[in-house]
Amino acid sequence: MIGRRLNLWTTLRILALAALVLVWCYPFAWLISASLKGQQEIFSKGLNLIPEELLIENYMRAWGAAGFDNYMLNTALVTIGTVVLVVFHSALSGYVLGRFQFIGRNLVVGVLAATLVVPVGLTIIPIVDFASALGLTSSRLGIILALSGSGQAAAILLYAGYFRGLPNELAESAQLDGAGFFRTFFSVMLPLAGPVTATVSVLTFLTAWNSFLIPLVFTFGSPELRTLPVGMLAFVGSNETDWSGMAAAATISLLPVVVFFFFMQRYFVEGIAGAVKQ
Amino acid sequence: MTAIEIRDVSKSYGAVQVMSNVSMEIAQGEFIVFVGPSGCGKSTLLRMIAGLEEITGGEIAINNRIVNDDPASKRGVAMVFQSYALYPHMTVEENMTFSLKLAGTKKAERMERVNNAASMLQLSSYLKRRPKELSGGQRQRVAIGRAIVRDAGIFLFDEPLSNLDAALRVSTRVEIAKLKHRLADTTMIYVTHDQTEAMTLADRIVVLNKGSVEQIGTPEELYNHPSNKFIAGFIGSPAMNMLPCTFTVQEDGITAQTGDGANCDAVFKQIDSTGNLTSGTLGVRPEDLQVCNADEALISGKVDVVEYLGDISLVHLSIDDGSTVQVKMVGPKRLADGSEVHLKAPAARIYAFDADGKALKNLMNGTDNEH
Repeated sequence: MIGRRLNLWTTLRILALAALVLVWCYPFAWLISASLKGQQEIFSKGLNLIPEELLIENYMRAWGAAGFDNYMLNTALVTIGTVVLVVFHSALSGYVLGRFQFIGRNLVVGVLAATLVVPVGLTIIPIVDFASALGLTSSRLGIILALSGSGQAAAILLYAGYFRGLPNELAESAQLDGAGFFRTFFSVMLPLAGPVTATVSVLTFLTAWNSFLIPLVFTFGSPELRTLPVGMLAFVGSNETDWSGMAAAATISLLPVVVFFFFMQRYFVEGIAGAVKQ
Repeated sequence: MTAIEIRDVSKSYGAVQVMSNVSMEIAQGEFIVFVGPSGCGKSTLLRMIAGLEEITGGEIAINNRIVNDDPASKRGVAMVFQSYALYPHMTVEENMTFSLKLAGTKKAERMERVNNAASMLQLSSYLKRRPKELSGGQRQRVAIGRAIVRDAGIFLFDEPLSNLDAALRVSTRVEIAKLKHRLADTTMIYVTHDQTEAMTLADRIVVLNKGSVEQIGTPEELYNHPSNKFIAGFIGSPAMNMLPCTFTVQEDGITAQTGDGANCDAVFKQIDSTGNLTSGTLGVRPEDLQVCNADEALISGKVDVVEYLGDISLVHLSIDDGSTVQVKMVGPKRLADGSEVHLKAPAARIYAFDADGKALKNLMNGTDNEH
């Protein structure tokens, strides 16, 4: 009797989860389906996912004519630069916050935590103003600095929590071995924070890859520097929108993110679990 | 030649003083053990020598150079931590060569030193493994190997065996004793709360209590001539039995009578004070007590428990004043619970302490308790 009840409960759970997976995955499936349909077919077929004919030229149009080959390069460069810079500065900040006592430490942590609730739109004007004064607008470096310079409080706090949990003896041992601050950080501490680095890398990768507002504002005068999300605007005309081209472009944009996450997911989960355990 | 000199070193955290006026000299090649109860400051003192902890007052000199302001890496010391402190992401070889790389040592020399240390510690086949792939004992050997390759003149051990199980602790202790003979010129300071480690390894033992040095001496000196009641109770296992007593000062010495009215055969003398001496404590080690007749007994008590340990039996007696006395008896002893036992000790093996806990000189044992 109990076994039967358990089976029923398990079946219900499987059904509920299957429904959830369907709701979660359907938009992605629709996107891929739309990227292979004609402009009229997207609307006439409604929720039907099977295209009448596979229109690969949507991808050709997005990649070539709409300049997504260039946008892909821009996005990759901006994303890689942002991830490297964010990992470097948030790990270093987290290391200091997590392992060193200094006057005002709690204030710094408090301010960082407070910035978590500040919307990006609120800081866009001072960021652009500042970048403009430094001559960094209309440049990939400007976008990288703007993306990695703000909104990294979560990453810093994640690193701080992890570094706080590492035993003091490791740092002391390195100190006795003759390692200074940076050597201890780079050779001993940072390699141990691999799971957190993976988590921060994944989160930053996703944020930078999909970032729209900052790249949009920074590339107003330089269309050749646009990133994928900004380039998507090219499919929106004043009179009509190329939905199938846009769907193909969105699929192209998604692919590297999916591949990256596929390889990093194990470390990502470890990092999150580790941070919670700390 | 003096390797380390500690002069009036003190340490405080804000208003809390944790060490006060600690002074000692440690000769080159000497194996010194800091021992004492938890919180006595033994690890703090070791860390101050290492340079991992700042000192609040006094001076520490290594090889006749005051190192108070020198960073840990410039003091010429290597340290073995209780938790091993191996770098988990590096192999055994990388762990051992890390300090040499930082010092700019050439690869050929690095490898030579690592191979020598590895063969000395039977680690040659584990050089490419990571610490997590090693047992506790192997990890501790890597930690020691890391100290050896540095070729430091001073090794500091901070409770290195505490994380090992009992069997491994004994075998690693023997390894450390062998290492001490192989590295005869290396000065070693070893912190432990385990007096067996202290007694078996040390050339000299420093007993610390509440941030101060209680006594410094060879294991034999501390065991046979404790300078005070704390040392007498701390060194020796099981601990020395303590009996409240009254003293009678006579012309030819001081005699003692236990609370039960038993007379002690030993005659004592105050070592360097002449204060009023009326009451104090008599001390007798469990291994010095022998069963005797009631009329010659120093202690009489009833059997509480008998612990059979194979070669000896440890008999716990409760005496009339409510305290407990322990006796080591050879072989198995079948004593009924509650049965009465009378005990005596050779006069030369009885210790006496004044009301402040300071040892008196026993005139019967040919030597004295002076340290």
